[in-house]
Order: sequence, then C-alpha cells, then structure tokens
Amino acid sequence: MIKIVVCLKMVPGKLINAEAGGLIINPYDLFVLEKLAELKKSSDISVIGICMGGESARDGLIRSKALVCDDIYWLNDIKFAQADTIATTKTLTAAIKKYIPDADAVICGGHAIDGETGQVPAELSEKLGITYFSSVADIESFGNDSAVIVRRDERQEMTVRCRYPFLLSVDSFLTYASNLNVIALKRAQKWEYKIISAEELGIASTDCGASGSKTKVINSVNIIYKKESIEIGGSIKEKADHVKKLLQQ
Amino acid sequence: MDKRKIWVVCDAFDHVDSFTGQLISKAYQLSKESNGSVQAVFIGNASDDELKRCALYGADEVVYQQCETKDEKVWLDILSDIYSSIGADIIMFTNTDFSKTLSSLFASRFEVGLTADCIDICFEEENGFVFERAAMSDSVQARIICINSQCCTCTVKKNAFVETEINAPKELNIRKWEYTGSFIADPAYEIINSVKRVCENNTDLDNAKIVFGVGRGVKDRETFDMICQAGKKYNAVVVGTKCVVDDGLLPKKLQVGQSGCSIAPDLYIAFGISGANQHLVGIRNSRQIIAVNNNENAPIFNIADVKIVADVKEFMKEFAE
Repeated sequence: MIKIVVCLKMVPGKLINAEAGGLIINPYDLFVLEKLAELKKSSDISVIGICMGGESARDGLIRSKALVCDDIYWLNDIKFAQADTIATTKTLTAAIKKYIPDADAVICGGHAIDGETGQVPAELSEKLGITYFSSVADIESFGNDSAVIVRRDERQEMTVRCRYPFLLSVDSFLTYASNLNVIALKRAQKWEYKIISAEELGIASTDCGASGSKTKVINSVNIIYKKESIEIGGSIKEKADHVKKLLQQ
Repeated sequence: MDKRKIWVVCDAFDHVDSFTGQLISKAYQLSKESNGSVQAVFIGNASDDELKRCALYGADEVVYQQCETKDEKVWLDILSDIYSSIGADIIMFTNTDFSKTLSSLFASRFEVGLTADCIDICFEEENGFVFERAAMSDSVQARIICINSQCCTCTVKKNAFVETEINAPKELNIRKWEYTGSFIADPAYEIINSVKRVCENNTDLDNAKIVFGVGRGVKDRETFDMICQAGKKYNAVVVGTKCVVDDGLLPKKLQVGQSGCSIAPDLYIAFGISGANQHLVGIRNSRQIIAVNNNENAPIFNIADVKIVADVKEFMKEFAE
C-alpha cells in the first residue's frame, strides 16, 4: 500500500464567491483530493490528510474525509496561530515525522489563495529531506516504487516517473468537488477527528506559530500615491478623440 | 561597524538581464540607505566581461561559481557554501519558478525569514530591512520584517524596481568561488515523455510601450474584442485584472497585479478597471495612466493622470472608429 500525505489548508470562502462565508478547502488542495479519489479506485493507496487550523477548519476536513482521506491529523492549537512559512513548515514536518514517518509521497497545493506565497512545499521538502517536484499539472498513476506525474511550465510539458519518497507542488486547481457524495459526507460528519495540540506533537512553542516565525507584519500602508488627474469632459466622441490624440503622441 | 552585506542571487545562464539589473539597482539604493555593500552572487556560466556589467548598476563585488547544471538542489548546496563562508544580511532573489524554489529551500535550510514577491524594500534604523507586498484581503500593502533571523531573504517581482545605471561605476572585483561539492543532480526521476508547448502568445509585455488593461467593467465579448482590435491598431498589449483572467478571457501570463506581473509602460489605459489595490501595485510604475470607468468614484482615478468618466462600451464604439 502506497502511503500518501496531503497537506490541506482552509481559506476564506469569499475569495471564490463574494457571498460565501466561512472557510473552504484551498482550490489547489481540492484538485489533489479529487485526483486522489479518482486514482484510489484503481490503485492501492492510502491517503492521510494533515491540516493546521482552528475549529473553523472542521467543515473542510469533513469534506476532505468524505472525498478520499482514510485518516486526518488536525493540528489545532492556538500556539500554531499566525505562523509564517518557516513555522508552518516546522510544524508540518514534526507531524509527518511523528505520525507518518513512512510516507511515500507528500502532496501540497502549489499555493494557498489567501497567502499566495507558494513557499511551503519547497520548504517542507527541504526539512523532510525528500525530492521536490514543482509545477505539477497532473498525477497519472501510483506504482510500487514510483509514480508518474505531469509537470508543466511555460516552455514544456513533461511526463516524469519519480521514485518515492518525494514531495509534489501541484499547480492545478478546482473550485468544485464532483466526487463528493451525500452518504460519504454523512459518514464523515460522524467520524471522530483527532485534534493534535503543540504539546502532543512535542513541538516547542518557540518553533511554531507567531513565536516560531521568522517574519512579522509590522503594519499596513498604502503605497499607491494619489495623483492629480485631469478629467476630460464633453461628449463620448470628444473623450475618445482626446485619448486617440494622446496615443498618437 | 562592518558594512551590511546585500546579496543579489543571479542566474548566470540569464546573463546580466534586465531583471538582474533591476535587483542590483535596488540593492545599490539599499546599500546607500543602510551603509552596505552590494554583492552579486552568480551561479551558472558567464564570461568575466558579462559579469563586469554588474558594476553599471552599482555592484561592489561579484561572487561567481561556474556550474553547468541548472538544478535547484545543486545550486542550494553552492549557495549554502558561499553563505556559510562569507555571510549576508539580506538576500534578494528574482521570482522566477526556479528562484522561488531555490529561495524557499535556502530559507528552510537556514531557518531565515523569506518574503514572497516583494514590490518594495527599504531600510529603516528602527526596523532594519522592511519588505512590502500586497496584503491579500485588504486594499493596502503589508510591511514585513524578519525577526529572530540571521538574515533576511526575499523574492522580488519583475519590474517592481527600475533598472538604473549609476554615474561613476567602480572597478569590479570578481571573486571566483571554488565549490568542492558535487555538481551532479540527484536522478530521482526519469523523463518518459516531453512535449514543447506552443507559445500561444508571444507578446513582449516587459518591453511594451503601450498597454491596454481590461477589468470587470468590460461586460461583454463585443467590447473586449473592440479593445483587442484597438490594441492591434495602436500596437498595444492587452492585459487583464485577476478576475478577467480567472474568467478565461485572457491567459494567466497576461494578468497584471500582485499575483500576476508588474508592468512599466509609457502609457497604460485602464478600461473598466475599478482599481483594487491588487491590480494597482502592478501598474504603479507606468509613466502615464488613462482610466475609463463609468463610476466617477472608482479608486483607479486616484492614480490616473487622465480621468474619463464613461461607459466602456459606449466609449469603445467611438474609440474604435
């Protein structure tokens, strides 16, 4: 059985739908879950979700469980809050090393739509000491000692066979899970989600959350300077002619 | 006190291109603010003459390691070797996919602070180096510092800074690094099949003099097509805001803003763009901005030189004449 860890992040739903409240599964992570659900039908894999987040992550975890996850580790402790990418990486590393040390593959969405840094996957691969594959567009199959993936950048598309263990950063996304069914969802709601605290994980508070972070937002400013603009009045035709004139200069 | 070491990590395979020039120019400015010296760290393959061009932008020294392989892990080991030996206070990387991976691996290995896709950097006595990037959910920029970190690292967005040649370039010292580790990339994979992608869009956005921007205010295909036609006529590249790209009207590479590219054309015309901060950070270096929007209070007008209150569709009908 091939053991696959999926890193999950819950992000504000309003980033996808202005009316949506609460948190949803990051669309890049959702693509991974959906893909694994598809592959699970034909290959012998077990999928373990790992997520750092508070109580508001529960709904997304239920969906992840219903979609494909056999097991979920929920790193839920106020001490993990406000982590930057370094502190997040250390926390995820500690959890993977403690609970899933024999993982064959670790898969992350390429970036989260709320932070948009895309740094955690590479950072995590370095801390875990496993091979890193970025720009993954698709996952084709899982074999006994390797998996076949598709990597895509601006210049080329490559189908690659990679040996376990490795970490993938996936650049495809989905906003809607079509493999989700009601019965699985009901079952997932009744499942008991293991909540893991910093103490249980055995990570020092100086290694996680705000105290373990190496960056800090000091304040926010507006660096877009207001300009004095000239308003062009008149008819639509006069306005259009003015712009044409500027373009000819 | 020793001078602060300001590093710019450069890809010698790219030569001293405009992006490299932008980073060194910013590093030079920071060196004056912070009493520092600028070191351009090159990995790859480039001639001495090529490397000496860094002096034009204000580099004090080039550290050069010849390396025929372009592999993130190999470069990480080389960079770690140089860093462990001479140290740095701040390290700037470009934000190409390769550099983003390299910087993340480096930050993780040394557990130092890393800020992604900066649009500005400054030095303050009180805070040290401060990095700015758009805060996602707000219409403001977050100012970020490194804490408990031996050095500060960041990736920088292309065209966030202006490439500037200095008045009196100094004679540049090229320090050839002699890395003794392995240059062989770990063959943990095997390529089964490789297909070159046909580039659907060869537009040179970096060097475009005129750029037309399309926002959510462009509500139908007809208006969009009129803008594209006018773009052809005036030799302008047509780009879009995040929502226009998400809607599939334009490819991702033509998205302008914090999560897309930054541009600096002579003239930017914003059609139906309200002016979310997300987008504004990408166009703020444009020399002249004309904005066409039907909402006279749209924030885009705050940074426009020329304000035109009009319905985009009506405007385009006249403009495309």
